[in-house]
Amino acid sequence: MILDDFSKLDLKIGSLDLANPVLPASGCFGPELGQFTKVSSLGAIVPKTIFLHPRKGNPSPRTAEAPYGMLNSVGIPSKGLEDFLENKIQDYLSMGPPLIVSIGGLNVSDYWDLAEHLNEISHVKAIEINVSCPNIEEGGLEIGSNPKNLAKLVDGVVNRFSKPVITKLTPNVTSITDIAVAAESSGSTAVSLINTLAAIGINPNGKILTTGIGKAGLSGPAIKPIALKMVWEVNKHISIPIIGMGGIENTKDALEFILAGASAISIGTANFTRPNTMLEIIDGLESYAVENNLNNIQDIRGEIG
Amino acid sequence: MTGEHKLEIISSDQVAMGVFRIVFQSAELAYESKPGQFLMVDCNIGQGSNESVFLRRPLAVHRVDVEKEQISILFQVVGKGTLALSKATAGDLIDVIGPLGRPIEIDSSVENIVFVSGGLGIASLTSLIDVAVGRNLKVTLLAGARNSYRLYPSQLLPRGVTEMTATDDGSAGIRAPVTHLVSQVQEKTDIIYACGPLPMLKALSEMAVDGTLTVNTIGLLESQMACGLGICKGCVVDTDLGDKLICLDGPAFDLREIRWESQFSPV
Ligand SMILES: Cc1cc2nc3c(=O)[nH]c(=O)nc-3n(C[C@H](O)[C@H](O)[C@H](O)COP(=O)(O)OP(=O)(O)OC[C@H]3O[C@@H](n4cnc5c(N)ncnc54)[C@H](O)[C@@H]3O)c2cc1C
Ligand SMILES: Cc1cc2nc3c(=O)[nH]c(=O)nc-3n(C[C@H](O)[C@H](O)[C@H](O)COP(=O)(O)O)c2cc1C
Ligand code: FES
Repeated sequence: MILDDFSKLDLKIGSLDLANPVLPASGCFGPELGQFTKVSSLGAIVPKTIFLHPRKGNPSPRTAEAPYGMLNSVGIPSKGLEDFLENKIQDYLSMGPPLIVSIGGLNVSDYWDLAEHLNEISHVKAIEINVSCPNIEEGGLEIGSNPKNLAKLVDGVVNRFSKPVITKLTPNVTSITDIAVAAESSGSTAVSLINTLAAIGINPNGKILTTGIGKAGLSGPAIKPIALKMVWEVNKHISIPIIGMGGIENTKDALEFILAGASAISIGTANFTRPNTMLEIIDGLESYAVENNLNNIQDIRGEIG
Repeated sequence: MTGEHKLEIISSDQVAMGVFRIVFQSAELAYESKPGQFLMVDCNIGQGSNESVFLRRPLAVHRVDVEKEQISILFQVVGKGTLALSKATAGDLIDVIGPLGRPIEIDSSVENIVFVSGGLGIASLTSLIDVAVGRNLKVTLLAGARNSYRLYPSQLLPRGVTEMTATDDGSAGIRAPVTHLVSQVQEKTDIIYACGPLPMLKALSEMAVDGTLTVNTIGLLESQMACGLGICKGCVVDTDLGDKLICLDGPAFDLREIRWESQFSPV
């Protein structure tokens, strides 16, 4: 098959046209990956979450091995919006696919300010709201762990940003469905899930935590069945598109998420272990659609009810 | 070009206690790899390997043989990844990403050069030693290890290297940390390259600060690495010039620029 000739994979997320449903997960993608894979073929480009103002991340060690996955306590270091616009955005735009900017904040107004600034930039085609950031006004709880707070946050972003708004959900909640419903009713164009699962690692030899600050996020195939269940469940309760992620490593995994209800899928940790994973999946999904006489891969979306 | 490569193992042997060397055939990596660079190695090899090793492991390009179009890695078995690798044999294919990291260039003004190796630090220094010897520089290696069985065998070093050793138990060379040898050689030295455990690098930094070490000292740092590519932001090091990534901006750093107080909770 000739790459770039994918006729059965295109989709729309709100007003956003994607050539295919395979995206990089925020924090697991950068221009460096261009040496290993054809980034111009991706469905969209999603850089690491940016904050309004510069902030440091967490102390080392920031990553550790886990069974079938990894822990990270990177903590979203960011050089801020200004640096992103001056030094980084051009690299991402030159890749070709539409740019979705992931935003974070320590309080609601940070998110709103970012949304307002990014609305002015025509090359930014969508925003993804990363609500897994500690909310300092709420004693450090993840800002997206409470439906009311989340609705207020999303509503404010939607009012300031006239293009598609994707709300990226944290799995570290009692009911992700309640949060997804709040995201939909407050105007999100789509939801993406899941972010990393709260976890720790302990090194018994040194009697220490394996990541510097202790509290970390688990990603990779270890979380796939959980992510799949959350997508499947959320899909029963909302009608906006879902971008599914969590441990996807190959076409089979991607198909499982689509069958569970995802319109698009994101690849995170697998970019580290197999940098060409996203391209292999694009190829694999097209082959699957052709072999099964589908008009579009979306035809099987949510087939597992 | 830097990329993902499937390399065939030409040979694998144990060169010191728990220390293994694997030689790969690869014209591309032999021509491309420069001193200071490393590979991200997939340690899931062969069938029925015991535990799965999820993340790739960073290992230095130990030596390069351009004529034979071969490169090698040298590693100590410390955990499941290196244990799995130690069981690989000739003919096995290993998936690596590389070469990665910023190459080290020896300044043309340098005539006398000292290498300080603690434990397996030698793995990352040898290709630079080979370059220095090839340029007829005066090369001294200060090699430290827990005991004589763990030292990199002298006969594997290129000819022309003056070697001084230090061991924790005195079974070879002086019985002291290898940093104690630095004062004996630094007067005639233009630059020092050091690689080894964090306490050793920290000790060198402290010597630079308190004035006992006056020579420009470059340290090769290590860290847990999830990607090795500059994407995950996991391998951060705090320096006077701001946060740097060991995989992208290093692994070589001027030791005086490292802000030790703000990083590296013990691994
Ligand atoms: C740029 C770079 C080059 C390196 N080159 C070499 C080399 O040429 N030869 C070599 O033997 N080693 C080298 N290392 C260290 C090597 O990467 C680790 O020893 C290896 O990842 C351990 O993997 P494992 O699965 O065997 O151990 P694990 O099961 O992952 O860990 C076992 C123990 O080792 C510790 N450990 C794990 N990774 C590191 C690390 N990066 N630094 C310090 N301690 C660690 C763990 O905390 C644990 O206590 C290098 C590291 C870097 C960053
Ligand atoms: C090292 C690392 C950094 C991450 N950084 C971010 C981030 O900045 N913003 C974000 O929304 N998600 C971040 N994530 C979460 C991923 O985008 C993704 O939701 C999660 O890892 C699950 O997918 P995976 O199993 O394919 O990695 C990060 C994940 C990892 C492993
Ligand atoms: S190891 Fe991922 S950024 Fe350095």
